[in-house]
Amino acid sequence: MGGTEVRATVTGPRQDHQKSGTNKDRGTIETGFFISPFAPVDRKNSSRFDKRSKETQALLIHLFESIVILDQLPRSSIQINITVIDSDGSLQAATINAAVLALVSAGIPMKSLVSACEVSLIDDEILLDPTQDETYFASGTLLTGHVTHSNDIALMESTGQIPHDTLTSMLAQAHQGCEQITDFMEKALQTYAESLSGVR
Amino acid sequence: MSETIALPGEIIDETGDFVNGHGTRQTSRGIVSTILGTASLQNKFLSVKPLRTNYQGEVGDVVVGRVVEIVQHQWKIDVHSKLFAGIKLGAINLPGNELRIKDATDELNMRGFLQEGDLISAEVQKVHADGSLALHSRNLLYGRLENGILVKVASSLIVRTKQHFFTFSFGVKSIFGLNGYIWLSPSSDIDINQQLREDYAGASFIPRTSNVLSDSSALPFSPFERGTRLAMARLRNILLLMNSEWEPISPQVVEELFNFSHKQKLEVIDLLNDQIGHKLLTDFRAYRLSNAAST
Repeated sequence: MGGTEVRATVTGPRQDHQKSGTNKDRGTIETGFFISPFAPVDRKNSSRFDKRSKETQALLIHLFESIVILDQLPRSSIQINITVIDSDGSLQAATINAAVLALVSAGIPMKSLVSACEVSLIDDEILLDPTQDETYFASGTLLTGHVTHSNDIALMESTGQIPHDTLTSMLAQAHQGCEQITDFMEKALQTYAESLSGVR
Repeated sequence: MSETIALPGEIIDETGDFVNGHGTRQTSRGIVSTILGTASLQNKFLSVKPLRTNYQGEVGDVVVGRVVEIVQHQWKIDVHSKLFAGIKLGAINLPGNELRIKDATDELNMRGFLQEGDLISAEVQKVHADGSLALHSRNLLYGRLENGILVKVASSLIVRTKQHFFTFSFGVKSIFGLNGYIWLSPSSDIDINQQLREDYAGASFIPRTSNVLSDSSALPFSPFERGTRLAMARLRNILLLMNSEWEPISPQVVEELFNFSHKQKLEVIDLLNDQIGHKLLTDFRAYRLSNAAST
């Protein structure tokens, strides 16, 4: 997405290594999140354990626990690993989109596809897919994850300040953006599936 | 019927005339796919077959797997499925074709037969309700695997054939595990191990002679020729190539491609190059098509 590049890998489902026994009839989701030192604008070292990456991981788990059909994967776990190659705004949205595609390609059952995008508010102007600089100057940023082919919202998170009267128009803008991403994702999956199955 | 591709969340039937099967979900909007795969209809039964998944076993499948742990009278085996497969102490043959109920002493000696990290071949005996597998090795074909290479490919690529144990003409024998694990070893091993096999007639797993955890293979290491070694390396690279190019894998096709790569005068290492590999496989497909047309 723009100047942002994210790689996602999915391992599993495989047997849960924890012997807790608390999740006998449901699967679990684990995440890993790594920002390469060269990815952000301000070069800095390992951020595997900082607040931001923990927050993104919590976000991913929260989202996918409602999207992935975990009842069909008893006693097993799915590991989602994210590596950020290049970071220039809308990072969380890009992360979610990458993770969704990785889950689909791993053949994991999901209720639906989800596409995510971010909108920012700068001086009463709504920006779709803000870059890092734009987020910096924005008074508020909204992240939404839309369930494809419906008006359902699977995820919504805001940072900064958003006046309540602009929220609706920002949501509408985000929905439009998500639909574009959905189109793109579905086309990509279609070609991917054709290459694997030989069905045209 | 013709097959169509279904994406997760895609509505594949709105009429409500059909029964939803694997890979689908009944919602208020109709039957919805939950996975990426090909939708197929059998009578009124609508299901989606996944394109890529972990191994889902069936009774009678030949599998290759690795021992991961030993729990109460069974070994847990990683066969690249959602859950570990189990092989019960009662599902193996003891040395000397002894057929009896296994007792506590046998349970203590379990590590003598198989320990963590060992590779084995076995057959699926039963599929449990949660999808986990029970294996058995009550056959001389199955046993511990030593002295060879393990190649891991996608399980859905392995073609179901009558022969999953295959000896190639160039001195390599192989086991095509349906779980996507393929075992390659020199075929000359048979003769060297004959004596040991006779000593422990009928045993699924030949007991280890020493209990030193590291280098303690039961079978003596038998050196083999450079030619065999190269053939094994070539075979491994061919299998990896077929995996990355998503080409269905069966012993016959592998052998053809092996010979074809020889004819193209490709070195073993060349096969690991993406471009050369892709070209080889494209040429190979064309070659097979023209062959099929002429016969």
